[in-house]
Amino acid sequence: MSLAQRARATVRHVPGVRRARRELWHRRDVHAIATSGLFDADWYRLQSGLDGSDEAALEDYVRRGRKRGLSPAPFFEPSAFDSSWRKRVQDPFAVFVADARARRERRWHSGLVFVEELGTLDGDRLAPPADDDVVVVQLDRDPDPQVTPTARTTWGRARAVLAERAGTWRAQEDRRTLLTRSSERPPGESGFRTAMARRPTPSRADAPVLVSVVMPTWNRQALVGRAVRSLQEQTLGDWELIVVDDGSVDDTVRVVEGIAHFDPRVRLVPLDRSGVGRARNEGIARARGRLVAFLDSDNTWEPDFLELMAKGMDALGSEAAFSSVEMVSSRRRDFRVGSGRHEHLLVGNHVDLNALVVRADVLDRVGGFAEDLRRTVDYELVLRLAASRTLDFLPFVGVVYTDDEDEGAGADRISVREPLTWDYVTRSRHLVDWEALASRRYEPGLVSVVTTTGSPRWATTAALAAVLRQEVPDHLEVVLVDRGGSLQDSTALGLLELVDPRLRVVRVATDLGVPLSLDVGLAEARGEAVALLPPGTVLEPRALSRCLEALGAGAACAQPLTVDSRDLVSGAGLLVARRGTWVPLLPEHPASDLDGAPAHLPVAALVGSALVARTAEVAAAGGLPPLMAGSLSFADLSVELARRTGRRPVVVHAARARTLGRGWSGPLAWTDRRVFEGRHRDAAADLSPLEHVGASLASLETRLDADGTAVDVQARLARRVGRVSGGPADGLPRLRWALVTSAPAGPKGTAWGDVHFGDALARALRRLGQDAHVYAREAGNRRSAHLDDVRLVLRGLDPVAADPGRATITWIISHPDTVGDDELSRSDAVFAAGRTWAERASLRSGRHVGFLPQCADGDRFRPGSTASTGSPSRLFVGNSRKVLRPSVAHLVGAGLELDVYGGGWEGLVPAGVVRGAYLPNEELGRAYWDAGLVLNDHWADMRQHGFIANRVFDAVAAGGRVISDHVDGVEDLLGDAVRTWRTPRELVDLALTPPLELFGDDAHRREVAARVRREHTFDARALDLLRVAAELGG
Amino acid sequence: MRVLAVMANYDSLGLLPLHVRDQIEDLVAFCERVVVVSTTDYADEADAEWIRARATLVRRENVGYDFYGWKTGLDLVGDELESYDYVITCNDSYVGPLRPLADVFAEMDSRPLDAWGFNFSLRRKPHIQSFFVAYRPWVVRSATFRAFWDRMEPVSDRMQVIGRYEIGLSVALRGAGFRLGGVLEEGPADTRLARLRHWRWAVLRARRAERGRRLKTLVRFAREPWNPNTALADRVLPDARLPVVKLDTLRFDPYQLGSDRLLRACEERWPERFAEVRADLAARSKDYRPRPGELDGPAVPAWPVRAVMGYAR
Repeated sequence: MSLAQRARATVRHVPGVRRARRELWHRRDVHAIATSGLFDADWYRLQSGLDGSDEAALEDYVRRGRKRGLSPAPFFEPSAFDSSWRKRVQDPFAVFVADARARRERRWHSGLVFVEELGTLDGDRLAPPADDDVVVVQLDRDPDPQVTPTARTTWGRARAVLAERAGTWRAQEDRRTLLTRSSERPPGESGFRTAMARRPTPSRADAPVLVSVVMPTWNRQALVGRAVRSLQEQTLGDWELIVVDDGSVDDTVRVVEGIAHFDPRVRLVPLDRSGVGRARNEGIARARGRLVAFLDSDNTWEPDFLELMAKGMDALGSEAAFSSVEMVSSRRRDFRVGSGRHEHLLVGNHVDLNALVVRADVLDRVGGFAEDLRRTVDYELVLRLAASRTLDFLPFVGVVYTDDEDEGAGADRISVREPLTWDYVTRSRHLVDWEALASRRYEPGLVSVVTTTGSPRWATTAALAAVLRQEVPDHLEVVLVDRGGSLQDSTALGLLELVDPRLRVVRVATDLGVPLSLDVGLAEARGEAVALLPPGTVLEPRALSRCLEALGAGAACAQPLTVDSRDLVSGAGLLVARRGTWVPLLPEHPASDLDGAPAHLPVAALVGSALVARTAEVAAAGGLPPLMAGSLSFADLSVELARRTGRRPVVVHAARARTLGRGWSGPLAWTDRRVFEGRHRDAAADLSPLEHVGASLASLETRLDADGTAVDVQARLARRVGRVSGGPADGLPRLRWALVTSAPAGPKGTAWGDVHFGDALARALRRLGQDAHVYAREAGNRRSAHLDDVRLVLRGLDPVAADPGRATITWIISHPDTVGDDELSRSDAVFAAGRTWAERASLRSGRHVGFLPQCADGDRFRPGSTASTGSPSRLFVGNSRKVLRPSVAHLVGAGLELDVYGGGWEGLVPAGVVRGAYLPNEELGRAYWDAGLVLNDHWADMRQHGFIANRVFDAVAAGGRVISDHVDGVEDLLGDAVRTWRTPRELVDLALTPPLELFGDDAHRREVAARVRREHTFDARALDLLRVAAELGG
Repeated sequence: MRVLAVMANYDSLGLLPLHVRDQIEDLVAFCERVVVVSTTDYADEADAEWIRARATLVRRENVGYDFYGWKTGLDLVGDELESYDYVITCNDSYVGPLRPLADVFAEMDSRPLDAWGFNFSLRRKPHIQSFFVAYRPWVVRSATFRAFWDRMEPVSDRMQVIGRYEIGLSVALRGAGFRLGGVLEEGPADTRLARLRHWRWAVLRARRAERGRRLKTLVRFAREPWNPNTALADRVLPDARLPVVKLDTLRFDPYQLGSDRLLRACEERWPERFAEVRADLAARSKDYRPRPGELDGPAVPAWPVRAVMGYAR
């Protein structure tokens, strides 16, 4: 750090300097933004809820608004422009307006939506878009922009949508944040106290006592005394206490007996264990007071709580009221205050039951506590009370919670024992009316896809794009639930509705978890069939229509077979391995393990993917259970649908979906598991799904956590063993093969030749009675690996992680330069597709490397059934890979005609030479047969090491007349089926020689092709490899 | 009121001293049932007969201190325990009560305590000193009380008995949420006097510490709570506000406040109850050796001490 820098850094720490510096920046930012004319004051006022002049709005934005996530203009998002803007002093919008390049782009990438042609450029100056300007809106970062629905609309319309969404966001945000927590004592507290001090204590009317206090308790021997003492120390003495013991197994009852002995106002009601809701209701039933208050046995009241509540309610004529709660921790002190209105309480509970007092007659009318809830029973009652009246807030602190409140209670607290998701259960009762939904008329032929936003944003857009591309028999609508997203996300999602009118976005003010969010979306669905799609699940083409077919064929519900980002099964349903023990079907197996399964595979439950069902039936079943936070909620719904309809859930093998990452299991997966197994512990064992996929159960593996709790149960499968009978592999063992390629998983991998090579070899092995599966390079560490007998590494561009303990054969098919000696030593047998390399590597490493050349795909390449056309054409199939490949270069240079099929040739060859970007695989064999000559050349390293390309084998197997650059060993293998050249002159000479002279007539070509198809196809290689594996004892 | 008393009895000379006879007579007069669990090898079987004529006598070998004796007695009564309005466990280590037990119980009945004793000490951990404890019926029915006596083993090391059982019982009951207390309620004057006496005791104790550690020891002792039974032993006078005098206070004078003077005052105030106490203490002096680390022997404090803070000033 230079002296000047150090001095500057020091000066910044002088008190006041930092503030002055910030002030200076603020002024600069305000000036820069104001002069740009791009600040949209109306837009800002809408989000901020502020009134005032444009200047005041800009000032507010620079000083406060941006930190609250508000935006200066509808098309500008600070984090999209500069992800680290929060660390900088300068406002990102001020940077944007000063950045000529950013302005010139005239686009808005939100991560969800992509808007182009925003505003007009006048030289370097960007004018904000006018209402009648046309803008282009589309899904952001769609992997396939060619088919993405794109809308051209006017800025006026787009802005109206943005404004409407911003208004909704503001209103919901207000409800969410309205005075629920404050660092200040409740406003008006001292005035309230003074006023109450002057009031007389209200009369108890004709009730025997003024206040009945209901205290449920369970195993609180150490704390209950303190709670009662806080009641006995109240300044108001006209009360009775009903302690309801919910079946304590400690001395709580004895302690309360002791208390009651000395204070006749205390009564004990012992119950068998039946839940806090029932305990409170028993207390209410015995209450004789005019008012009812609730004190938990581990809490205390401030001494004047009852007096102030009774007087305050009397003054207001209140039916129900609550005080503020002070929460003290070692770090901070907060006061819970807020509105008692239903709409605010629906967003989150800020009324503490210990601070609530209700008139007894009101409680009678509303009914007591819900007895079927295990947690948030208080919230449920508060919501019910607030549904028909506003709960009055009395501005004083009646209850104080400190950090040490939990002392002595520990793991027995409901908040520790019961999942947080009970909160969602409670809220769901006020958010979705299932009875009305079950009886609603749904539109025949309409399919509703209900999904919710995920993280990151592209998880939402990828899933959405795939859904919008689905072909369904009739109509499709998509309901997307925005789970309390930011202002930018909410408004961007609004614009997406313009892109595709089939899309509707429903916003909920806070994140309600995936299951409840989907339930809320389901309430908006109009179609008779519904697909519930968890976040981050991308449907492959026709997945939806195939699941709908299964529904039509009588399934209770259906799901696509789902693979994760490694191409391994992440969702193929659940089976019941033994009574009450639910395990996933084929987790982390290759999808090809389901190849022989029925098209609609019946399973015990669906999990890990979209669930397609009849909407009315889903509504009658009560939707997804909000008590579960993760994917087991889908399983639970599918079991319920099956129970109600008497039909089975099915996995549709031909329908595929892909999950991002390892699939969505949701938060708190272990809690879900406990809830799910608790509900379905009586399910009878059913191994039929396994039988359908030709597997059997060997054992169950249970994974335990540190406390010894079972967190995961998996089925360990048994493999069919035996020997092949008949055919070329007669007598050889029947093995399970893992063909591991260097190709990446997913759609990216399908462009790699390695995948097709692996697939063809796997098919050949299966023809030999083997169980062969192809894996992407990421799939190394998978749960199903224990079933493999042989691991065959098809070594391409990248090394594949070692997996000791299994017979491993490595076959180097390309990129020999990147293969190290350590890779050779890790394998039980090594082969290379280049003779020269194999010999050299054997000498160098001391490890025997066999020669196993590449081969032809005999399924696809065979001579044409009719006579060749006699065309003199010269065919070259291949991508340029950004270089002018020798065969093409020399022939084009010599002015010879050539038909090139492949990509990346633009600018490298004259127009007219390239006939197409690619030749479909099914047409390739016929093209080889018909062409006058088929040209091929090799990469330098392949040629140098004697690796003959499989294109040469394919072309010869199809009867093609192949001219290739010279590779060692090609004559030995293919004889005169291939003519080779070493110099450009030789290539041109060969190209000018009549093909008949070089390769003979059709009959000869068929004969050569037949030999190659006998000796150099995947079938031949598969048999060689099987023999090697059998020797290795696989 | 139905009261059960289980009394532990031991005499090193195999006798039944007068103050013990008085104690048994008092218990018998007040309680519905008295069980005396004795480890005394009576020199004269007539003494045992004397007890049998008034109470249930259980004789057992001398192991496990008083606690195992009480356990034996409580086990003997069995499920019937839960039918009493009070259960008392006590031993014979004190002279008293010096006012009628009925008066003491009438006074304690209105105090919201689940179990109480003649002395409630804060030393080490808050606890009722075990020489006299009265349990309310809901405590007797509690799982904590039952588990405490069920799990008891005969421990024959005095310090272990105090830690595990005397203090352990109070810790368990307090942990279960029960409220414990003592008969003597300290007033402000009591507290001032007790503090003064305790500080003097701390000085005397610190003098015995190694040179160089004395100040630290003084501070440590001075910060500890006092034992009201010793620090306020003369609150027995004049009207038995503290209803008993512990024999150990007279024997060892742990605070060095002139226990002989206290004894003399008691002899004057309750001549019949204290008629043989001085002789009994002398006869058994060789059986009660000074406890390691503690101050021992009746002391005669200098007159200023005597005047300001000595027993029976």
